[in-house]
Amino acid sequence: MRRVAASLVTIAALAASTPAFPAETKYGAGVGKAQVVKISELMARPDAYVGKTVKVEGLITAVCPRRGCWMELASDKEFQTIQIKVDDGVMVFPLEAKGKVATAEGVFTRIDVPVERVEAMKRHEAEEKGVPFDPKSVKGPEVIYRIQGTGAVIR
Amino acid sequence: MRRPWNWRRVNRAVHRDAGYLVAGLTLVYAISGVAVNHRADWNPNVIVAPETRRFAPLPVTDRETMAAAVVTALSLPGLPRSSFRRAPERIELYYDGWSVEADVTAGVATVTRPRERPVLRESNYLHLNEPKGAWTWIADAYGVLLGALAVTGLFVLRGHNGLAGRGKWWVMAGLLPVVLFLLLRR
Repeated sequence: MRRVAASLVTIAALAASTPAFPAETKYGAGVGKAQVVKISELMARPDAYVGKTVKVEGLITAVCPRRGCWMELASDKEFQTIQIKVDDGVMVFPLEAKGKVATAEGVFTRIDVPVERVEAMKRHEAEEKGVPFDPKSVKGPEVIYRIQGTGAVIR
Repeated sequence: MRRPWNWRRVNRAVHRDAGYLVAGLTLVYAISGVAVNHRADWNPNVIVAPETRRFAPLPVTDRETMAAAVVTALSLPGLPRSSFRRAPERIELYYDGWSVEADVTAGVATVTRPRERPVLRESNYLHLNEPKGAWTWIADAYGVLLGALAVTGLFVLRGHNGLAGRGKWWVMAGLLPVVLFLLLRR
């Protein structure tokens, strides 16, 4: 009986142990064979890509600290990033992915944000990052371009 | 001598043994269930506690030079694996599992080292079926067993405390919030 109990405990411990972050991890549907579009190209001519499925690649500079429901990729152009947003729980990007390289695929989307929503978003962002909200950061209505992610590969 | 077939006795045995079998995983799912329900308010997997550090302001130059200067100013353990500039004066350094965000003009840096929440991290990993593969089948089998536990539980007792007695009221009381919620929210 003791042996059975010991085996069960061992199996449970093995099953519950979280593996180390593997060399390459696929999220959602992963990525297809389409050619990578430079993030700077997307941001330079956004209206040409809105509604289209695009594949991008870049350094992960931020991850949603609470739910892992978005990550931000650095552009090939300095000071520029793009957000890969996924529905809550469909894919969960881990916080430790920050600083790794990701290839992500999804639909390039334009969002027109009214000023009151901009304030709420910035407030939420500050709250998530644990920093004080700066009302001066709200400069009026904004247009946000982001990728509604269908899959990604992080390495 | 063999005892005659009695479905209630079999029902009790199934309920008892299925109950023992799923006890551990039910606790795992229960703990994780509460934890992930409140994902909007906290990260159920890791503790993120940024630490603010100050240093003498540094000149704004190129990314590599700024990264090296911040490493020296904050006595960080070597150059980062990668780095990024969000603005000319703001640089981010990425190490394995932790990062530093620095404003070189203001001389302020935030060091973020996320720490995994023990037990919860593992529970959420299983509950949200992150491993996929074989775990999907184990979780399916668990779901079937949980269903069997619920159904057999209805027929464990007879009489006043059974399903025909007070049991039916408790079953209805359990269903009531579900039905009401769906009716009112949809």
